[in-house]
Amino acid sequence: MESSPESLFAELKRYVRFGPADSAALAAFSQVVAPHFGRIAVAFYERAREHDDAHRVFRDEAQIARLEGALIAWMKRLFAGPHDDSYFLERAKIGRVHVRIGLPQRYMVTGMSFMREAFDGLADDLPEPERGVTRLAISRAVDLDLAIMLETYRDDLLEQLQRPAREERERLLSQLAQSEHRYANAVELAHVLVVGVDAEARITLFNRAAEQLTGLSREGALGLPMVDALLPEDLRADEGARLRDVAAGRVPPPEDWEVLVETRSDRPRLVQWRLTYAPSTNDTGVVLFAIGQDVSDERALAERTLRSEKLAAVGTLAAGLAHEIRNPLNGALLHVTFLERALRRSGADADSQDAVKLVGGEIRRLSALVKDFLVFARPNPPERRPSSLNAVCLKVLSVVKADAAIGNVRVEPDLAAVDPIAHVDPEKIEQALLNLMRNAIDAVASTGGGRVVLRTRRQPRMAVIEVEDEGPGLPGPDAPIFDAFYSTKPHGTGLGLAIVHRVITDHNGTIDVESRPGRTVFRVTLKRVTESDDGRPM
Amino acid sequence: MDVPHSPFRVFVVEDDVSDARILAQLLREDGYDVEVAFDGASAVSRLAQAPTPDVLIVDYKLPHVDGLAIASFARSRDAAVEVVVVTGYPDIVERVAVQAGGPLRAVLTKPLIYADLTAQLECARAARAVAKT
Repeated sequence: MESSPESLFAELKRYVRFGPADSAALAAFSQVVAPHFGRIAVAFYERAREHDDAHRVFRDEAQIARLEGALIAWMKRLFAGPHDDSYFLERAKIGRVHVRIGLPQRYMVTGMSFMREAFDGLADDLPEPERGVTRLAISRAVDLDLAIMLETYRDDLLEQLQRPAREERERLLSQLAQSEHRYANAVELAHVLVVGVDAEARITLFNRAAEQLTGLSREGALGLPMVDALLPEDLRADEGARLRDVAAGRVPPPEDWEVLVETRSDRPRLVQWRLTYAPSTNDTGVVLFAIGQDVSDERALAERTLRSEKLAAVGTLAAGLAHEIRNPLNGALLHVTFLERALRRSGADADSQDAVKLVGGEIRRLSALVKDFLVFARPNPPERRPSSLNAVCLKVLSVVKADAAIGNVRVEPDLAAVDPIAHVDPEKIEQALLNLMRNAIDAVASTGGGRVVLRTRRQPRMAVIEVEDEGPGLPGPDAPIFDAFYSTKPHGTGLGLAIVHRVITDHNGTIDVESRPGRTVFRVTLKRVTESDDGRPM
Repeated sequence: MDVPHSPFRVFVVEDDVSDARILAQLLREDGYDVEVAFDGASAVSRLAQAPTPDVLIVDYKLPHVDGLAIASFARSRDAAVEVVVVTGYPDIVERVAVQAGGPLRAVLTKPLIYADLTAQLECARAARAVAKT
């Protein structure tokens, strides 16, 4: 409805031929009809309440009284006027109220018909020509009201009908905005890498996870060919051609695409990409979505597991072999013992006696190797219990004391005043410390003697055990001292430190070493049983 | 060995015949009274007859009857018999030592260092002397 209220009202008035004369006639009749307004209003609502559906609209007497008052005001205005714009607005409001309460239009027509009859009845008593003039004015005024009411009724009805559609549209728009926001956030904050590329495989979308892994900023990445931006140089040519084919829609995307991705600060990471080709006719120009996951750690774990399974299998085999070696060694050593004795008794020359002694020494060395190897290859899991590390150290000291004295080595305990307790297998820790101490004693003895310190320290959550010696130090910082079969000692098995490493890591501890000529410290760090740990005695 | 005390009886059970023989010879030279068996079944049948040895030197893995079962049987004849196990599998023996039905004097690992064995035998001799008084 584009017309203004004035023009609509003017049009309606012209249509029913309502003019100033009508207003004057109504005003003149007003004094006659006014005393009857109350009675007419009561009768009007009595009639209305006779209707079957009345209960839907009328609730109680107070409401009826209010409505009667409103009807009386309506009648007053009908006769008193003025029939101007404010009159139009007032009548239009009544129409809208009727729409709101859901009053069917036919009741308005019948209602107005009731009013017309009531007024006409009163006008019948007027003398002519007033009677004719008044009845005509009443008729026009009632028609005018009816027209206004129906007109606004229609407008309001339309409005009411259109409102759900508009509200639905607004709801959808807001939902779309929300889902766009959600989508943007989902992409942005996802823990997977999300990279979108255009038909030339240039980056058009680069989320935060992609920034974090690569160290590239979004601004830096946008517009670059994806392969050049992310992949190590040697992979770019092949993978680039492949990705361009996919982005251009020439070949379907591979099931998954596993490729190394360069990082700014770290080694390249292995990323598994899922590619989704989704060419779009509008906006952003993303035709290919690459959703990537860093699988480096997962793969490394899988490889480690495989390796340790292989090692376990090899270990089982090797342990069986090592055990079997002990039987022939046993025979060899017994016979060597017999030979030594026979040669001595027969007064054989010193060289022959030494030769046999050497064989015996070699057999014993082989035996030590088997023993160490079995510990290394078939480690039984630690049987952990809360254990005093000071007590373990004291036991180790008592065992090595004799060997130390032979090499002119002083072994000194430097134990924590408050005993550190750790949840460990004390026999295994003892074995590890024995190996460390024997190495330290050998190292110091090789320089003619000196001092070895076995130290414990109690730190807030950790227990530290140190073996410090004054020996010549390790061959170099990169010497693979913890590797199996690495040894600098002429008669070493090369398994001592490998066993130490295995034992400490089996206890989730760490071992590190500092070394220079004159001072070498092996430091074992184990989790301490703390006062707050439940159910574990201190 | 000039022996002021009664002969010390050692019973060696070892399935490697040449090893058993050479060990027996070394022990005899050192004055021990040595008997030998090469499998579990013959060891048990020998133990069923008197006299019971002072010390049993047994391998663990043996045909028919294992070393600890032999030790257990020997104990049924003489609860104070001394037992030394010589084995390539000391870990296993330590784990199942209870099957010997009593304490083991020692579990020695192959290859056997002969001097270690005689040291244990001398301890056993002392213990037997105490047990008999």
